[in-house]
Amino acid sequence: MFRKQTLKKYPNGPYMKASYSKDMTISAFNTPFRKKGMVVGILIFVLFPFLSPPFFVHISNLIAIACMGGMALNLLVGTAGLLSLGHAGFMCAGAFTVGILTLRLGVPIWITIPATILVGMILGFISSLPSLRLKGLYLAISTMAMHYIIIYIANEYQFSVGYSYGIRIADPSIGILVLSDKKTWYFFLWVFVWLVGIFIANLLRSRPGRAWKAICDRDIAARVMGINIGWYKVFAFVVSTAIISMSGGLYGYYTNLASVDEYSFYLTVSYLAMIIVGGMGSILGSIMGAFLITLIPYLIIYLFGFLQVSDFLKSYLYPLEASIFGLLIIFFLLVEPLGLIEIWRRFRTFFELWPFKYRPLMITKR
Amino acid sequence: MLKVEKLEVIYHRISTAIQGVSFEVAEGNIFALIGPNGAGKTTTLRAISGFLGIDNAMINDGEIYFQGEKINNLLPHQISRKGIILVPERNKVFETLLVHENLVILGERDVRSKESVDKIYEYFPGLIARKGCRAGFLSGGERQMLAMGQALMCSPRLLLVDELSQGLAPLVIKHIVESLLKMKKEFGLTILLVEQNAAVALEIADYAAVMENGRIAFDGPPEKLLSHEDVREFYLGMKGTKEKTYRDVKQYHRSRRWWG
Amino acid sequence: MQFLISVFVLAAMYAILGAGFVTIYKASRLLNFAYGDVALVIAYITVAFSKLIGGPAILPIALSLLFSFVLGFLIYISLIRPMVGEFPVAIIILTVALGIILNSVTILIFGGDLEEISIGWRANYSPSNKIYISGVEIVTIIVTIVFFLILGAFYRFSKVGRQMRATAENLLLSAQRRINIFFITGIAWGIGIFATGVAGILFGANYGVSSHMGNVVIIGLGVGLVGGLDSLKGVIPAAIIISLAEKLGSYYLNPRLGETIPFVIMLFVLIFRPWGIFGTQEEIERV
Repeated sequence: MFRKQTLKKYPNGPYMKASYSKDMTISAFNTPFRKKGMVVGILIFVLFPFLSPPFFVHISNLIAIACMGGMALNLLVGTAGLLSLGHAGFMCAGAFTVGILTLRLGVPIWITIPATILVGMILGFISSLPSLRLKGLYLAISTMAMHYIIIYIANEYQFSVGYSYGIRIADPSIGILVLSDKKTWYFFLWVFVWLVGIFIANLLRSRPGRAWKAICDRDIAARVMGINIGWYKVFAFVVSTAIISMSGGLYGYYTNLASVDEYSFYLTVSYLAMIIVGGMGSILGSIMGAFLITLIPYLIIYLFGFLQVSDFLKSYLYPLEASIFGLLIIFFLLVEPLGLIEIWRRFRTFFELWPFKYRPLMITKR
Repeated sequence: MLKVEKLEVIYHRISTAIQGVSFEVAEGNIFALIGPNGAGKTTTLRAISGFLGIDNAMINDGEIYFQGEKINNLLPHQISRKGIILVPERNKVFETLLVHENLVILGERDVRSKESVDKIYEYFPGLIARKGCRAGFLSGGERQMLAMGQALMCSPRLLLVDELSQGLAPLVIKHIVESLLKMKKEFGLTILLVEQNAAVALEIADYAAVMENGRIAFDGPPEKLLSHEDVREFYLGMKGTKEKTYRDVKQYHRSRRWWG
Repeated sequence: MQFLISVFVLAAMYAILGAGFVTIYKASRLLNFAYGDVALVIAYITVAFSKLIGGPAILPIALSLLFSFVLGFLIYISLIRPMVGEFPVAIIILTVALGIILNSVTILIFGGDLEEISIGWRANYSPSNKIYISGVEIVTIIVTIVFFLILGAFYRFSKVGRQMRATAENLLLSAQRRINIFFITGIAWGIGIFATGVAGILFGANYGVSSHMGNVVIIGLGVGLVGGLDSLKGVIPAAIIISLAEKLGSYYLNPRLGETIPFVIMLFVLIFRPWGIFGTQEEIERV
């Protein structure tokens, strides 16, 4: 009864759409409740940096960069099913592009960021070539090889030029706006996240997204249907690595440093953990995963301080933190392998279907 | 021998696949389940052989009794050790193993009847030529023969066969069905057959049921099904005696006719 | 001649490292990303056993090999079995997380110092002038050969070995064929971690145990890849090729270049023949 009323009142609401094009548009605010929620959300977003300590703003900036990388990785691994372990290498490439360009040529930010996108596209193209022949684990190994190659080249550059701890990057300036304060970065980064999110959501809802899902499920069937799998695989890699590289460049600008030590295999693992814990193939999942995984190390440190652990234990902070991180990932994977978004969906379905428990069979009653 | 009572299976916690299914398979009988795609026949077989957890499905309600014992929540290999062996629709054989290795996977001799593997080669002489071949390279008919031979080597009491005739030429189907009947007589098997090809199924069945949309619509001995005009029209492809309009043919009218 | 001996010793080392990967892949079609860390744990446990128990060197080694078998079974039961049917990415992350935990726990308990594993045979032999071989190296080669012979025969000819191959290929079907899949896969993992343990102990005996052991492990992956990840008999020619190439490269060209040659071979194989020398071609669906 409730649903019928809702359907009549909101013909383009969350359950049914009145036309094909309406079905494809990204409409997140089609009920009054959601509209009100959006207003509240924007208020919280804008007020947050002014009302909280700078450390929290810093963490939310890190989460923003993680969201960007996470969404791009989720496009590649979650939607298109192309296992890629080269994430840290691409971020490193982006950061180093920014470093080299600003240091050697003094190029301003509105050129370097497109440059990182270009570098990402080229590297993505090269990385996509093995995917035309390999699948699954073997593709993962080849992307891992790509990661090590990029790190090796960056390492050689960093040491040969003499910057043993990395290239220093100055704060970028756009016109009169200098991005040095954490609050300015906050708004800059989260607007970027929003743009990237809309871009990826758009891609996923139109032809490339459907093609990737088809390739992920059964690529031979997709080929038979006329989808050019080679082109779409390359496209997935190129788009994904371009965004990842851009996020690496932004990270370099934010931390004012481009150094190889930051981009280890461990970083790739944490990004993969983000999309798995969040939920593969969904944008909301990557955001949730990015939040959780970025926060975990800080939570552990806070917990240590809160419980006033002895100094003895504190000296073993890194291995303890690593083991707790590993344990948490394992726990999460065993308990809910489909990720946080599955928990959210079950929660939502419970309220949607209540008081029913399961969707009934489509049998007409007498 | 096998009794299924009011079985309800749910996929992914939201979508009901079969609901209220009850039937009984007597010992030594061949029970055929026919119906269109998506009716829930394969799900029933999976529920009986214990395979649901893998696909995120679960038995929500109902019981399955095998020789008086409840086998709802046992592990798959425990169920197969009781004698319920499933010959699946896809992935029927181990493709990287050789044909001979596929047959002797549990040992050269059958555990219960102590028959040696040569018996299988007697039933299916076509496999002898392919003895040293990898199973992945066999044709469809040979694969089905290998799958049935393999199932037989596991000393089955109840054989669940899913889509016996899928993708096979009529002569091959005939050969396999004949071998199946011979095997049944020699080893005293009970067979639960799920088939889309209703003609083949109704020919050899002792009792049959039609499944539609997750429920058993209609069951009875094969003569009863063969003479029912809707079964003839929709599953056997024989035109009815009356001229039917489009409205009569719509599925919910048919459902109403059958359950009313 | 000395050159040939050093090539064979290195090849034996690489072969054992490769066997650790191949056995786990044969068990569950997975790459054990925690390989280096597991080998580290086993090596340190051997050191601990030999310090605690003493006695002839064979005793702590046998104990820690038994421990590694049990550890493999436990890892399977607790981590891999619940993850049946999940995405390969998820399982890779799981093994990496396991590796992180093992690594950090080992460092916590044992410290990261360099230790030595003794196999009780410190002699150095010199059959003729200019040829030196130590007892450790002889043991390495013999153990490798015996290990491969026994394991290869086990997989090919025994009933349990056949069931292991079947279970690794198609889990559902083997459960429907009266095979106790959990037990069989547990044993397979036990063998896999056992192989890892053997690799760790031999490595520790040859080069010493330290917290940097994990870095050589990637060559083991390369060896397994070149030989075919699901083929145990492919590991041996792959190990010989790679060690020969590396030794030749570092001898005649440049030592640092010699170290990169295994990676070059690995990439080469991935591009032109991904299933390796003896791997099954159907494993990798080509586009």
